[in-house]
Amino acid sequence: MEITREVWWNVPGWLALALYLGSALTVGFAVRVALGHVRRWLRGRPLTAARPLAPGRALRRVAVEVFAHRRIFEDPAAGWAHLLIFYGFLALFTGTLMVFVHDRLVPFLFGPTYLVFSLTLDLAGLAFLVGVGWALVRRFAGGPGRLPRSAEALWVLLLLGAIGASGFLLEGARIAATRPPFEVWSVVGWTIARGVIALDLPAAPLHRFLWGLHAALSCAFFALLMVTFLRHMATAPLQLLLRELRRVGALAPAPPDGGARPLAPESLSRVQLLEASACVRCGRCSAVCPATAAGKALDPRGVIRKTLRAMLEARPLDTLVTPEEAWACTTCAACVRACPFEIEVLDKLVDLRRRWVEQGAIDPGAARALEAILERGNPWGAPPGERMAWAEGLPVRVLAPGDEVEVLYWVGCAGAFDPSGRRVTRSVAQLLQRGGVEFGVLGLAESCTGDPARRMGEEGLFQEAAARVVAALGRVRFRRLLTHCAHCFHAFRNEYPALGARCETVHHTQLLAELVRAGRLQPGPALGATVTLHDPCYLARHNGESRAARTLLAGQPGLELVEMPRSRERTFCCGAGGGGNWIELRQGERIATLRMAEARATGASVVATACPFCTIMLEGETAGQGMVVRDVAELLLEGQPA
Amino acid sequence: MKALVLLREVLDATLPLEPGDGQGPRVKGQEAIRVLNPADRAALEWACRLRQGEITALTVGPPEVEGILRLALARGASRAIRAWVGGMEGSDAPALARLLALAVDRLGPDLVLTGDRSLEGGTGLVPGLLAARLGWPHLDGATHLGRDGGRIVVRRRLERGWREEVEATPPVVVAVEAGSIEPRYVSVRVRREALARPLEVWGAAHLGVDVAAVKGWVRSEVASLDWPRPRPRRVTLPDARLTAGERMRRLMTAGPTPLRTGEGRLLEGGPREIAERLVRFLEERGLL
Repeated sequence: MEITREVWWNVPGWLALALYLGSALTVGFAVRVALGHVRRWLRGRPLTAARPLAPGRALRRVAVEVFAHRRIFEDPAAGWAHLLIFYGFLALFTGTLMVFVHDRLVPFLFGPTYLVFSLTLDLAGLAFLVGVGWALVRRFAGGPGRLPRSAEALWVLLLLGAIGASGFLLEGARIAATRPPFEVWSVVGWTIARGVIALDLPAAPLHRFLWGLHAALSCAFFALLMVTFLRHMATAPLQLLLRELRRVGALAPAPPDGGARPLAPESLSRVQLLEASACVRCGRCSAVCPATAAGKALDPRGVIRKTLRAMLEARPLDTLVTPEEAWACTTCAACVRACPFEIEVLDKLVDLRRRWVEQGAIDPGAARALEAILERGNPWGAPPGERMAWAEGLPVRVLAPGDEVEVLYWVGCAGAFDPSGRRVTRSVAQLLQRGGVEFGVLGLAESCTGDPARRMGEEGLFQEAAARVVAALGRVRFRRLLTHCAHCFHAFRNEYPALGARCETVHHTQLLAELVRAGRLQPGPALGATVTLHDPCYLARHNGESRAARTLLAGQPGLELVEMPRSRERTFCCGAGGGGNWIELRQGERIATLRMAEARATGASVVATACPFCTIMLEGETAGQGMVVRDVAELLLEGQPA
Repeated sequence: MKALVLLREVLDATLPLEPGDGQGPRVKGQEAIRVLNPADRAALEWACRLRQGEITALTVGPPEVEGILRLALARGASRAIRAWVGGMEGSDAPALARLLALAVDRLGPDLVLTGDRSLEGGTGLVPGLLAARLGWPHLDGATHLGRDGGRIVVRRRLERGWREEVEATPPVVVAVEAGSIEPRYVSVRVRREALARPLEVWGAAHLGVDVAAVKGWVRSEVASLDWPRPRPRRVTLPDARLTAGERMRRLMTAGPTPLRTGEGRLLEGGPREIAERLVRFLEERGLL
């Protein structure tokens, strides 16, 4: 007996024909649905790339995410389950293709090759079934609550399981009927065959039935491929590839008619629509969303689902997503960071806000902040003439047009007007003086960067405010631009280059860390305290800077730095971003309350921050808690020798 | 139904002011910001809320005040007119009412809406004088406007917290209270579009008066402006180094909380001892 397998053994012609016909029909259906998605994507606005596509980097990124499951493994249990399914499926699918090649093109599955092939596929099938079973258990019997217990997920997983199981059973029946001794290498099939023989089942008819079942189930898989979350097999790699064209959280300018008309799918960009097709509803976004955690209306996964619905039903997105959802977002991008495909939620919410801003139907607090930016150049509506009040008694150089300076210190509105912000500004200025840094400020020529306006969806105001700032920056010469506000930092670093203002922007934690490293400042403070560091989203997550602040705090005698569970780029928002500082949402808890509870649980008595908005938000939660909130600059100043 | 909304540009008085050189108050340390009078802004918003047919915005002033008409167009006015006759500078309320009455005659609205007082002049007389000249009902202190068929329904604020609802048959003059309605936000894009729309300018000829006559209407003018007496004691702000919550508590509670960290001192001991130390404290400062 030759060591191989007769591919069409016991399969009558009509059944083979049915398989080919069924496959052609269902694959055709999947292709048709896929083309429908592509057509709908192409109806969107062309993507304005924030950075050029570097093919090498992009492909490497796709490879790491797809084949190494980097993001998926951030939840290790999910990572293993998906890995088993992924590689099991890949092996089985490749195996089927190899059988096709062997049958129709080049016969090669003979002898040892066949035995290795059989063993590999049996093991792959086993892995596949274990993975599917694990996924079923995680979804429907325990597992994280974020996973949807939907009928769709149940049927898809059962189908995958049934395809695997029927494959093994038919293999067993075939071995039981033909009894080739070498098939002991098909370990699972061999075991099943022994069962079939022991039970004295009619092996050949059973095999024929199972073969038909397996073929039908496989066709069902093709049919469901593009109409269920299985779609991500095609869309996710594409999404990961195109992700490289955008910076997380750096918003694209609104189209000229942005907000003037309902947000129909055509008003979204092509990548935004692709993202909607790629989502698998794993819910990692909603699990990390501060607004969701605080019991507000927002559920990031729901927003992406609604975007898909808007695309498929050609309905405006603003008829599906409510204002309460869109305004609850703090644009902290925790969802983007958590998503295995980095699907962006906040850009869609900002597009919706743009729509409502144009209609004038926005929260009164947001409206007041926007009008204040327009009329007074700062979102608090503080008298612009008091912009330098923070510097009272400090020798701070206010630059005149044409002046040149090493470091231009951009104070920002919070630093100029908010009482706790002024504390930070004074500390930074004093530290710069001690460190011998030549710096100057723009004084009354400074005005809002427009960042809150852009995130509240008032693109026209952002453009106007930014033009004012670009003009003010152009009147002086400087080498580096220093900000202590993470939001100003983000705007200058990621959004101003598109407006023609390119300069080296440095955050105060970075500059102060430089001064400490150069020995120009004492690494403070020498206070006996347990400190925890709250990373600002716009610093740590949007801009990947979480080391400098730790350099300033760590390794000090008497200072113990303890980390919160959510820190660095996985930090949890304070609630101030995206206009949250000015919008009073009455629904749910305050996000800052949750964050302070997390800080308190570390046992720290001091919460260090590196953004005035975080300071404002978290300080509002300290009443009666025996904790203080301090910017790292304040702590560093306290540690300087008198 | 046609509505006419009368607007006025005023100095933004929520900024810190100081006495100017004779002409009026000046904003401390910066350029003045001129804004649409808040009560007029509410009047305009009510006009838009009523969904009248045509809404005409009108202001009296030199070309510099056109900004508020642009804003009115952006906010929903269908037509904007700036009326100006040389010699109206520093005009008093009766003269202004007389000029406005001429404009109303030309336009023939069913409803004249305006703020109940301007932040600058603050006499609150113009709507009443205008209504008297026109012989129309004058409903001031309006906090809510509605329509009931052809009639205008106005809720008015009375003394001591009383309210009344008045139904009036147009034409009427309604003077609206500031803050009676939250104005919708108007985006920069819409504001920019309003810049391209036409503004009408009405001079003496349009209004059918001659300049010399108008000069004669103005019978009183501001001769000088006295700055209010400084407050005897400033409200001391809590120490900025305290937390937001603590600052709030100190602003809202009375009692012997130290105003600046380290400034206050708590005396402890028996009543006699404390009294002696208090007396000594006061004597040291020459207060006894």
